[in-house]
Amino acid sequence: MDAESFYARIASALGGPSPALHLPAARKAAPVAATVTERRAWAHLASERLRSVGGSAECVPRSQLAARVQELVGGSPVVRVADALLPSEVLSVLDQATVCTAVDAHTWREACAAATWGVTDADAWIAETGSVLLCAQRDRPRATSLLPRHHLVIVPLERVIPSLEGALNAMVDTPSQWLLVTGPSRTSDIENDLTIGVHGPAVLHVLVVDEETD
Amino acid sequence: MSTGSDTDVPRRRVALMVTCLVDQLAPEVGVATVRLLRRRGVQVEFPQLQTCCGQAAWNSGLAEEARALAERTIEIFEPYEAVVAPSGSCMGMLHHGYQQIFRDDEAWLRRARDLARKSFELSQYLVHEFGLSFAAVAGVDEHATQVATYHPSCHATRILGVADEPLQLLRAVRGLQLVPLPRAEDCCGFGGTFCAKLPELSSAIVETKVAHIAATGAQCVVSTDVGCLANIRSACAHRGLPVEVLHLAEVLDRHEVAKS
Amino acid sequence: MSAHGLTDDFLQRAQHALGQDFLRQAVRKTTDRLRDGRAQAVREAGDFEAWRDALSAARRRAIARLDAVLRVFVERASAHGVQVHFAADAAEACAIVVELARAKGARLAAKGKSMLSEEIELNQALEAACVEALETDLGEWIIQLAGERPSHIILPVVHKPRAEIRELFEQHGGVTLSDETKVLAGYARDRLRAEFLRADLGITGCNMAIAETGAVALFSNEGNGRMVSTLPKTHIALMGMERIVETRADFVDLMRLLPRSATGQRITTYVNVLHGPKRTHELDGPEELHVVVVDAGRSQQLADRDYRDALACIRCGACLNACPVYSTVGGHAYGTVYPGPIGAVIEPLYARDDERRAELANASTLCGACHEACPVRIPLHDMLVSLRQANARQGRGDRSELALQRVAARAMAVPFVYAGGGAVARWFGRFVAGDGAWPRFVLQHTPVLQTMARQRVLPQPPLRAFRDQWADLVREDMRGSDGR
Repeated sequence: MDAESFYARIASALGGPSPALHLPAARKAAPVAATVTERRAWAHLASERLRSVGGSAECVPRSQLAARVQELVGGSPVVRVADALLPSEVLSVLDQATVCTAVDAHTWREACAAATWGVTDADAWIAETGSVLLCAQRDRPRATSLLPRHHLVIVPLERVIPSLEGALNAMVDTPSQWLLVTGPSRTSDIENDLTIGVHGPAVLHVLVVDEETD
Repeated sequence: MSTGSDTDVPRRRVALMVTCLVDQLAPEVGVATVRLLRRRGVQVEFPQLQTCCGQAAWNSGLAEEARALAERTIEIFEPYEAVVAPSGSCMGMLHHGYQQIFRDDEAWLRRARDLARKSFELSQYLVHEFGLSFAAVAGVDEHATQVATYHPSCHATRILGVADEPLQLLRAVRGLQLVPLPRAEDCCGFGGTFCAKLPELSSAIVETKVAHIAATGAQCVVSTDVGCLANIRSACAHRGLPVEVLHLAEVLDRHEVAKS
Repeated sequence: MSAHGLTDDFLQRAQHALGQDFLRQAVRKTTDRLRDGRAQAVREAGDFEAWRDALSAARRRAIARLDAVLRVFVERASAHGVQVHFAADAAEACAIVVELARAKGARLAAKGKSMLSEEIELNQALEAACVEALETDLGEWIIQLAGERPSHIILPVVHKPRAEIRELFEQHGGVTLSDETKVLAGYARDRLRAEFLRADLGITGCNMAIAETGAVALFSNEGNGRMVSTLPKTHIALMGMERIVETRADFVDLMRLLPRSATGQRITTYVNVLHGPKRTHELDGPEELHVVVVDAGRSQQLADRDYRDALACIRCGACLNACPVYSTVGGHAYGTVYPGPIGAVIEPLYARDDERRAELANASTLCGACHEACPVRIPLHDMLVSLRQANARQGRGDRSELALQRVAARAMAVPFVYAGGGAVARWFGRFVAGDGAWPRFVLQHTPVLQTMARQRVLPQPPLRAFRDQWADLVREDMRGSDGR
């Protein structure tokens, strides 16, 4: 059926066509200003919330970031997002084990499927739910956070925000897709028995990089 | 205690909507209701022409017949200052069901609303008019405390909006030890004609309710609606559970009567 | 046809369900777990009623001007490269999908969970066109292997014991497995991963569309929704035309209410909001995103003020979990794609001449728990009464019983007939009370009451009605005594 006929059926059911709906185009709002203390409090809350659904999280000072990533990832096969999105000291650690750089979708997909860790940044980490926000973009192929067995998120403290509303405002224009990830994949389909690690990654670990030292 | 001493203060006058189920199948509930009200100085009238609020017809899909009964009910009761019924479901019909019946008829809708505004289920009336400090409530033999549990009827709570008035009243009775009913808000499976149309399903639902009652160890289960009570009573008998199944009015009346 | 206006189908299925111990405990366990989860989430949330107010209003607002809202959605989605198709009915929706599959030369369609695709019977249409339609949600895959329907909107396979699931997997894969959840889930993960990677086409539903940004949102926990909307070259999202909110702010309310109402989760593991296919500079993602907007009886519902609010449904399943009937017999007893209270309302509306569906209006105690649990406050219990009215008007169901009920209802309006009839009934009641042989015999041969004979012992009716005692009560009052 063509669009106009479809709308006409609806209009007829409503007793007449509705007046045109004027929705202003979604605008990106100014990011929430907050102190370091506030952001650390949000990070703490986000951690608790993420932990309650089987994820894990920690705050790491920048000086210790590379060492921590080394501990977590070790020598496992890794795929990661593009250089621009990650702190430089992390790149050298990851590249010891990185399988390959993203060239084409097919090769990348195979690399991701073979990798133990997919390492990404995030556009935001949300205290309300413990969710990581990932908007699709060229430097952040989707498969990186989807196919590997484990997902590691490295996000600066200033991107920790309080609420879901803030997530919408944190987006760059209208990406082809945005995604909230809150924990490892799960199902209770079998006799209501919860199991972690189904199709998506079985581990979600968030490293919040705290620039300031106390 | 006589209430006739305050001759200067006009007695509250209430029309009793006894409800067809109570009238025909559980008249003792109506009698207890009348006595409870009179002990509080209420003059109780009984409009003889009343029959049925129309709920059963409405729930069976018989809209015209239900409307005829609703119109009668409004005509019969609207002259009174207040109306009280020992039934959450019938009052629920009056408050909510009549809004549905008359939604396209402004005049009747207004009359239905006016009536609803002065119509109450028994526990609502008792608590809001008299609070809990009525003198008549007393204990029986203090050592013979009966353990009781309360089943909130679905229509009383969800349709009419009875909250914890029945519990407040029951808690004020010193001869009763109240224990909470697990998953109290779950339906008992009566559903009016439902228990006649789908008896096995109704039985399965009430069995769950009775299992919860048994788990409380209560000697008595109380509710505001005789449909629920009849259903629960029959299921308790079937299970051999020796629990007294009583209407709120009966419980309160019994404890007040025993004061002497 | 039975004596009570129900074809044997629901009665038979319900009775069958009542006799199945595993099913009974599984359904009860599921509904208790999910509604306890919801109750916990409501307590923790604090603002739950405010969110409910907001979402109820948002859904009704969008539905009240659905044509205008869809226009905005289509305009903005198209601007991002989404190809929007419109299907008047189930057949057309299937035809559109099949045609797209053909055009892409697709041999394997990997499916995310979509109740709408069940409703329109898409898998059958694809199979008929030689396209393999593979369910990838664990529960949906299991029921696909078993050739069954889902028994719950959110947890499709809770009616099935793990041993049966293991057997299905063993038959399917020629392997030996244990009954452990981890092992079974692991098998599904490994088998389906290969399929995700080779699927030509990904098909999902649409939990909600957002007009403001021309978006399609998918909520999932397993990750298969992401897989099928990311890996295959073409992604098709099936969207019930009413599944839309106007703004992102409305969508935030949905994000807060849908997971909590369904299972008690604060949020599902994945919320995926799609604005279009991959951009040219992006490495991966589908090259085409198609949205098929489906009517299939919804515009008819829109026209009917008794049922329009049911279009606000967000398919959370809270009403199922709250329902005493559903939680006693489970979803298959309803015999429909959508079970429970929402199913009992919309299924008869989707197929208005189907008497088998019309009878579902009677499968309810009208307790109102569904309305209480519904995040968008749909008065399902009132709608069931409206459906019963429609049944009565159209003479659907047991006509003799209906005629008897009409006579009784009319008799109730005449005081002396009511009083006289009541006296006769009480007199008769003495012959059918108790569980002696004679009362049971009489009861079994009494119309209307005879089915009750299977389950009930009727109590001894009172000798005198309340109205017969009023004169005594008046005298009591005048004497100033009341038995004390």
